[in-house]
Amino acid sequence: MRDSTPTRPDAATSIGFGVGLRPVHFPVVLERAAQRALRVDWFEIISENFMIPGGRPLRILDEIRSLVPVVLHGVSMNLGSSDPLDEQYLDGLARLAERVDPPWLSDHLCWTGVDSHNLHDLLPLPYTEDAIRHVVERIGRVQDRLRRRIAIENVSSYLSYTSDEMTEWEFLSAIAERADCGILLDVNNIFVSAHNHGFDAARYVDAIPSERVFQIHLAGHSVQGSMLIDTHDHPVRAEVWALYERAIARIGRTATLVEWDDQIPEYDVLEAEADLARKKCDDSHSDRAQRRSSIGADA
Amino acid sequence: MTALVKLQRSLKQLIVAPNGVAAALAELGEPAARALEQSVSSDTRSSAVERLDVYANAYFYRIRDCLESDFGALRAVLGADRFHNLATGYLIEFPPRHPSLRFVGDRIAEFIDGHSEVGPEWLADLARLEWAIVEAFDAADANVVSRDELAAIDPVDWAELRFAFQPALTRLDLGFPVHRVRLAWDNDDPVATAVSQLAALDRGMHPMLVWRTDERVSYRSLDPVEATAVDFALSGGAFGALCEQLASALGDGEASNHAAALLARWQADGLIRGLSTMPPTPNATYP
Repeated sequence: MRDSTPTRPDAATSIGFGVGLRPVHFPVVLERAAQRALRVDWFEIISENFMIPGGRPLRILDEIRSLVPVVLHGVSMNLGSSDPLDEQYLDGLARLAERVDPPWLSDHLCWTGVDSHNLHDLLPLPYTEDAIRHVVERIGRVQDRLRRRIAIENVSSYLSYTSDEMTEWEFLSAIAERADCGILLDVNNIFVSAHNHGFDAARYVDAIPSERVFQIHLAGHSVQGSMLIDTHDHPVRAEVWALYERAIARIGRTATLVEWDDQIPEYDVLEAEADLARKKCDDSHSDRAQRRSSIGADA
Repeated sequence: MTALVKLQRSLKQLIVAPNGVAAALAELGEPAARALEQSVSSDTRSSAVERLDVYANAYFYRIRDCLESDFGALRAVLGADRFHNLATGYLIEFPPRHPSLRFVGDRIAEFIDGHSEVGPEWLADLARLEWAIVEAFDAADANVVSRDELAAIDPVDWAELRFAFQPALTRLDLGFPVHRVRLAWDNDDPVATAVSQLAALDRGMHPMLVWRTDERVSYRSLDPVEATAVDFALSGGAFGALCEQLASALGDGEASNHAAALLARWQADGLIRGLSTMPPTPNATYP
């Protein structure tokens, strides 16, 4: 069931600021939630970690979901693979989506394996017209199966192909438009890939169709030799915050989430990062309002 | 074959190569290697091989770290280098097929069974026990039968009473008491003492139970009488027939007390999720 409305879901502008929910933070999140002392508005979970029959993770998910919205973020849909879509995987994801009723769900614009061999990584696609057609058709089938629009995320990449026919932002935008899906814009991934491939990150952000951006991701990265690696094990770097400010100035207030997956710090550190995103968003929009009002006064 | 399939198969071949991308390209030889290398862009920052190596390293280390987390005691026994080699061999023979990393270790015991060079004979049993613990952690939830429910059974129904066990229960038949190693590891004790005890043992019969109660995963060894009783009850045998079976092993005097004690323990451990006086059918459901 495709929704042909190109505008963003309401939650994209109203849901606020969140962090990735990780098992190490389950106790503190439950405690804060019970005291109504959470400083974040929502959580994002890695879908695959909850596509399980039972046990503690699902119990905690249900408890948290009863208090705040939860968005599903997958890593294994394998949208770009030449393998057939994994129907069993989609069945499991559909069951989880029914349980959680997320504002939207997302996965990555990439391939994660071929010939049923899962590489458990997010590999870039060649930016070609053939690949666009392939992915658009598959997103259509996923959205029909899940009866929801999904958002696709740009990945950090460490290689590109000599067969590329266009830029990554042209590729991402074309797929989102033709598949009528959302975009999960990861500004850290843009920064990392811009460094690794030598393109202009600002140009990427400026070219994305704003009305398709359901959500923004922020995360830290590491330096490894001449490359930047999307390790999710550091605070968000200053250059990525600057790119975020540029993105929200252009796109407007947008659901924003901080990811942290390795060397995970105390939960308060994640909330502080989400607070900072909220402040930057508020500042950006009060600046714009001020500019609009001073233009009005001059007129 | 479309260009996309060809490209993805070629990259996969390089990324999973156990000796790295450069060695895999060398093995391919010209002109296949040159064509493949030329499909990935190089620049002054990094060569195509260096770029592919980022994915090759991530593939191996991500999965090795996951295996280390699932097989903590096995990792403690083998040490870093031998566990690294185990992961390398395992990934060649059993590449990950499931979309979730949660299942990446599902065949590691089978791999160890087929590779005596990995270590002592009991290592595969340790892997089997640790995998059963992983499986119990997120197995389906079930309400379990309370002591009061058991006590409320009408005496006339006891002979035909059958039990449904909870889905997070696994019954293992191991050749060695490897739970001693896992127990040491669970208690943050060195595993060396338990390992040296195992080294002195020959293969025997060591039945085990692994299960989860609420959120706690437990495991314990079974004596032969309890193992037989559990298997009989798991297969749908009635309590009356179980008592008769125990009588032939223990004598009439002991049988009913022993059966009652076993049942009390199963209930206390939270193993029983349902009671029925009807013989099991393929689609039987219990309350």
